[in-house]
Amino acid sequence: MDDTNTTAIASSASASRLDILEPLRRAALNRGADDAVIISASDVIVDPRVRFKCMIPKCYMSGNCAHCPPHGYSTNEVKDIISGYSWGVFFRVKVKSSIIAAKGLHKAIASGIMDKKGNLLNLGGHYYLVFTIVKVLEKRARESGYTTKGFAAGNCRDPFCLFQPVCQDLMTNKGCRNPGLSSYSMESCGMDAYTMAAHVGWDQYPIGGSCEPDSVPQGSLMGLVFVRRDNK
Amino acid sequence: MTSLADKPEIVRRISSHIDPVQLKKDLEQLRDKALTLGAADAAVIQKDDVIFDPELLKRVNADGGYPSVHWPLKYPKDDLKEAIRAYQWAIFFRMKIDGDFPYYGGGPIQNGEHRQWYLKLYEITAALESSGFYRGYQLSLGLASGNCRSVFCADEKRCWPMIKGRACIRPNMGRPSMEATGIDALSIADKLNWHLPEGGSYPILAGLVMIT
Repeated sequence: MDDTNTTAIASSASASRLDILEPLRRAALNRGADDAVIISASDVIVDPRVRFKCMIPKCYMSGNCAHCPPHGYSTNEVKDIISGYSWGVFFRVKVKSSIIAAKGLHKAIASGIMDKKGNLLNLGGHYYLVFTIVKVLEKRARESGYTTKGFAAGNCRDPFCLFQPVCQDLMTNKGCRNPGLSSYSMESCGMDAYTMAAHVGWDQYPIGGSCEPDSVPQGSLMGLVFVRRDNK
Repeated sequence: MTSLADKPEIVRRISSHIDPVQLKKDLEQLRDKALTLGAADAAVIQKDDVIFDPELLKRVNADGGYPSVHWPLKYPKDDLKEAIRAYQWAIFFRMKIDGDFPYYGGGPIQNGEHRQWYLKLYEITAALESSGFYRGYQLSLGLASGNCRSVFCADEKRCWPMIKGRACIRPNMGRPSMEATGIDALSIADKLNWHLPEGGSYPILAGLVMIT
């Protein structure tokens, strides 16, 4: 994966405080991210308005998944979590506009019924990739003795539990069906991933249900993995 | 009437910083869009123009006879007032209604014509919110009036997302009202010197779309 267009915004001197950061950034790129940067936890934007964008008007998944608003972490809880970290790896996976802004995609997403061109399945694959990268980075960090916390994009129910009637974590006391795969998304936790992407120089476009492929050059799905070294 | 299914006229790249000149143009265009879509009055307002009335909120919270997920509001983990206070600019608009237009509160809207006015209000709110979003103000968020259940789900036995694990059957349309958040539309209109019909107990049918 060519990472010439990737900007590592943290200085190498600062980032070297955690030797794992650069390997994790490269791992994100090797696993399929199009861009990845090391960011300071202080550059993460948590905004109370972001979670409300999931709830007003209500997203089809709002209230249906334990990881989506009004469930999940409040912005204050997220701020507390972030305060425990100094650094993270922020990455994005690009999605062709012919997929993410395909005509009829929005209807397919809301209904959960596959469209004939397979755009819903293809988009789901991109989300799956974001979750996978988050989990790979978390695993590598843990194996190297770091404490870590990762956030993906979108809801986890569509990519992992599409064929299940309910979110098991939300509706029962059995917990999540896929704890090793699922995670909270940045936006469900109130992180303004769009503005963060703009801050690191990534072109990010607002894409909604009425967009068409020629409306935007491309789409992006973002993920973020924090790491820290606990003194023992 | 534009619809949410219409292709957006502008889709602008998200910027790390808001250009004040562009913002001013956008706000004026969004205000004009509200008027074009059928609002009787529309204005660009700032954060300090948004007036909260705790009594209004109490009234809504006591009005639970026809409950929905948006009336009265319950966000156990989030503070909507804090979120509203984070916006600096908004479009405030009202529909033209007669003086005898009753205050429905959160209850059913029996009069079909009145329900159509509410429907139009929600459509304009959604259209402005969508337009703001595509212009690069990705946190644009609109509030309407009344109880969205009365407008969209009058034929339903209940508001479905009130049941854990059930989704809203009108995603992207159902939304809270200003009064459910404690925002006093009447006082905002008074401050703008709008001429409202006389005689009604709450003679305004208004929307607020916060842009950035």
